[in-house]
Amino acid sequence: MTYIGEHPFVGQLGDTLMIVSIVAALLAMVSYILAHRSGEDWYRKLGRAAFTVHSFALVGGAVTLFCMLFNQYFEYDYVWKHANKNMPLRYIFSCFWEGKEGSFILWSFWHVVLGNVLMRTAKSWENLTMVVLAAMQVFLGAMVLGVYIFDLKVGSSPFTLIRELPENVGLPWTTMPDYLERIPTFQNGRGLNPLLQNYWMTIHPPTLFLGYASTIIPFAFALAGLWSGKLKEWIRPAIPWAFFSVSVLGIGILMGGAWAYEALSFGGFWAWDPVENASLIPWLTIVGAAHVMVVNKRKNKSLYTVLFLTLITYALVWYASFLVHSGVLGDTSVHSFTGDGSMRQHLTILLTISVVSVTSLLIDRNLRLLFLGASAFLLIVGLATDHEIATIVAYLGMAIALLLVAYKKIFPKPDTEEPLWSREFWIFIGALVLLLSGVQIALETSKPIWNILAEPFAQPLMSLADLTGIDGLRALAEGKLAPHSDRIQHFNKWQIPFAFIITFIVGFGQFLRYGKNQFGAFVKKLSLSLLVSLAITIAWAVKLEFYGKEYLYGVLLFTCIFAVVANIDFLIRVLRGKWKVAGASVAHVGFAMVMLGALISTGRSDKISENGSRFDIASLNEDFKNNEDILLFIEDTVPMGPYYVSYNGRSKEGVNVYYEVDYFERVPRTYKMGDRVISRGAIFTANQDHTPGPDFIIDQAKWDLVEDPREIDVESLKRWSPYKAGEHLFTLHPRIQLNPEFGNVAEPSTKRYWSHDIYTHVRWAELEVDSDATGFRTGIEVKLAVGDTGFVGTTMVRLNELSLLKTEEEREKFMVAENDLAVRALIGVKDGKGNVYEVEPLYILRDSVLPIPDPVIQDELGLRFNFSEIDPSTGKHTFTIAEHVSNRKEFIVLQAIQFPMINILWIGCIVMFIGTVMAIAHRIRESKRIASNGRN
Amino acid sequence: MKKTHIIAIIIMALAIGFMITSVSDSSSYADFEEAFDNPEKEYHVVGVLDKTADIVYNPEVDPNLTVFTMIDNNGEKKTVNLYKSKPQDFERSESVVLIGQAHEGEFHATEMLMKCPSKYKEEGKFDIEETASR
Repeated sequence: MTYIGEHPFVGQLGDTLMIVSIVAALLAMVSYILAHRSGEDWYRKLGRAAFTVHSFALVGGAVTLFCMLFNQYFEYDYVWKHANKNMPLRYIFSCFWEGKEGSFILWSFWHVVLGNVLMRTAKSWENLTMVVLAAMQVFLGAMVLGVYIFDLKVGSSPFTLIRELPENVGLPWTTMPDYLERIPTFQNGRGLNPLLQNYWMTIHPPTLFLGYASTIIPFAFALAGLWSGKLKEWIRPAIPWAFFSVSVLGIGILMGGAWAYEALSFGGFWAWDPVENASLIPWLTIVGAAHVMVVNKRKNKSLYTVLFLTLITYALVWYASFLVHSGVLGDTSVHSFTGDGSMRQHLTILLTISVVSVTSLLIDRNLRLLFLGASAFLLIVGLATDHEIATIVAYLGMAIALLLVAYKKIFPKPDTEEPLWSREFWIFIGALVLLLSGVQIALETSKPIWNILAEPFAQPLMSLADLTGIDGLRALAEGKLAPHSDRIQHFNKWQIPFAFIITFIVGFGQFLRYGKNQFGAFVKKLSLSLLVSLAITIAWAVKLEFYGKEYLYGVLLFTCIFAVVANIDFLIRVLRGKWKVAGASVAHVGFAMVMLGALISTGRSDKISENGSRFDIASLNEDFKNNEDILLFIEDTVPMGPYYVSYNGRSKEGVNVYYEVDYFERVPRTYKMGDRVISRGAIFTANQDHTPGPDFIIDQAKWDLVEDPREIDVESLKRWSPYKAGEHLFTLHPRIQLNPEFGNVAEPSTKRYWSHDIYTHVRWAELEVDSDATGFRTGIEVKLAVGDTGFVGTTMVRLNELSLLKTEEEREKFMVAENDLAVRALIGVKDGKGNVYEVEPLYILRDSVLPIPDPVIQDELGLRFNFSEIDPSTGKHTFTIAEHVSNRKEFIVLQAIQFPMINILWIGCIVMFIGTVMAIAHRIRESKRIASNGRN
Repeated sequence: MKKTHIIAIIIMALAIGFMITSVSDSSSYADFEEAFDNPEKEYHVVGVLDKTADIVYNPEVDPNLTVFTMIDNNGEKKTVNLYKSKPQDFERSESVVLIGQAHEGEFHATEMLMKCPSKYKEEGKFDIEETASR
């Protein structure tokens, strides 16, 4: 049967190309292995040819998927889920990598690009490094294969038709040849999540994935070195690649921060969210690895550290992917990733990477055999019995133990004591601190995994918990360990000391030579930078109040400033503007600026909207004083932090609702005699002209209490304030993006000054007023017995009397039909200003069964009363009271945060990027020079 | 060799420090029963929003208080005071994680993680019945 309007060929082409690409990658891998074994050029050529075929097939597959999205073939599941007709075309790339399959193809695509460069530049390292790369391409390809091997599904293909999905196969509509025309769903896809419709989403994922993909090259070089026995020679060609990863992955992560800051309402650029952490950890280790590589090249030291950090970086990249895709993070992340069925495949890849890495790193033949044998045994035990988790723990323990043995046995320490003041020693310390920082983040982020791994040890953990009295152990034993409740504070507590050590080393590191340094001379060289940065630090710390309890911030402020100053000093005085070799110094200045900007902007971020609550919750703990949002009625101008703000209304453009918020200067004010204000819940009148002091209490004598406020229009009164709104400063347009499919999304609007940003977003707004045709909202039910009072908003209602309509006169007055039973309620109403009204709603029962609604509208109050139920058994009768929409002024709930000095962070990102590019260029030039010298 | 030993000892101490603080500083997941048995102690409670009960958010009174009812995984219902503004699309949430403590019969949450169907990921399956009736 042919289906009308379907494009099955495209999908088949895509799937075929993916299969060709996997087969070609497999062939490339085998050919390169043979080329290494035999040393014959013929195999190498075959390997290259196979990888070229693989490249074309994979790029072809990517182009096919792109065409499907571009032409909007909604019969395909991937297209239907990620694209739609209403979406601007510029987001089509974002659609491509929104889903798991697309992002794996993107990852694979970068491997192809990098692989082709590697193939042409790796020279003697080509065979072995390409084996690693091609093998990884097979794994990645399998992720988007979507075939069943026996009962096991391998990967999921983006080229699957919706009617071919397992859950749809056999459904009646799949047999209709014209299902595409008949079912309206196929006319348009679900489209891109509104959160992702942002230009950052176009550039952040490809950069991040290039960063992830690039870590395979140092990894491949390290494995190639270990396999060929050239334990050290691989490092020189790998250095530029390692710094390439540092640069691109770093920029990718920071772009994620910029995206979060600009488009998401997380209230900042970094929230220590598990998904952010997962990408940061491999960056920390690759930074460590790259630096120790440089040391090793010069001083032949720390070889084991170089190998270990390089290998673990790649494992951590896959660990990050595992955390994001497997669903284990579950309840711990706002990103709320759900499992997407790739858990098993991720575990397979992680296990393969770890087995290969550990085996290679053990070096000693006997140790390798022991490890492989034990791993195989554990694998069989794990698969055959239901003690899967216990075997994983045993495997991890064994791997760590054997790595320690190998470290002792194969990498003997030199007998001579290393000099304390040498560049190599402090770079090594820096790398260790980076690793420790990564370990801390990884442990905290992996809490859900702890719970899983602890399961077989519940009994001993419970006993230990009883013994030590640590609640956390009990939670762990029960598999209920949760992340720290104040995540950000917990991470900062640990990471600030690490950042302190790192920035300090970054500051003085360059002033140390390799080998032994004279301490006195070293300090002398540094003294200028130390003094200058101390002076700047003191000035800033006073201004920012980074002292007293927050001395840690002050200390970190010093090291960050010191790192900036010292590296600039190094550039000027030591390098004397020799830009060719200045890459490292420039990058370090950039890094220190990022840290500095992060420290000041988050350490002194100020929720200026934090004064909105009029509700006293002090009866609870201090923790619950959480008044971070402010309420703004339309056209009211209210004080907020160092500003006055007013909300001027909203406008709708396409799917966006923009809220116009004006910011005004705050200027001192004066009060005239007779002015009325509210303060401390009472009303006062000024008895003289005066300029107010800082607090009302001081001025109390200048004010008279208004004893009888009944005559005063309370709602028009303002709170006492020493300030008033001055000149208009700027207007912000935070918005809410409407999306019925995914839910509405708030996006902030930010005013940028050189010294600080004012970040503003709408936390809550009534998007649709739920009113009926007559303009009344959904009513509120109030149950009243005679004599009871109740509240509707600020209006008080009291049921004064109930009476049955008996006389002909009354019945005529209320136009009640003959067979109706009618009960009249007499309700007294008192509004916020003290005005009293009376309404008389009726309860009408026709023919003893059918209640007839008889709404009474009180115009002055804008209220509609409905006597909806009589309950003789309890004596409490139900009235439904609805408010007219014009009753309530429109309002928004707003949050505004001031981020000081955040521009230092963004400038730092750019400086760091430029610096790493300079350093990479320098390394490549140096490699070429050495290579050409060697030939001569 | 002394220096390497010192470094090794520091690293070991730090690593043990991580483990201990990581475990002892942790909050833990609990159900309402456990949280109410240990009032004033911080817990993470997972559950779903009771959509039959009212979500009370009166920004005119307090823009930083949302009161609603949550049903935990054991089916127990409790009134929750969330000291935040009402999250966008709260009604659509599939499950919520509250971070807070029990106090006098009600749960007081300082933080809430909310999961909406298909908000961040492609969880929403293509369902012909549901989509056709739209």
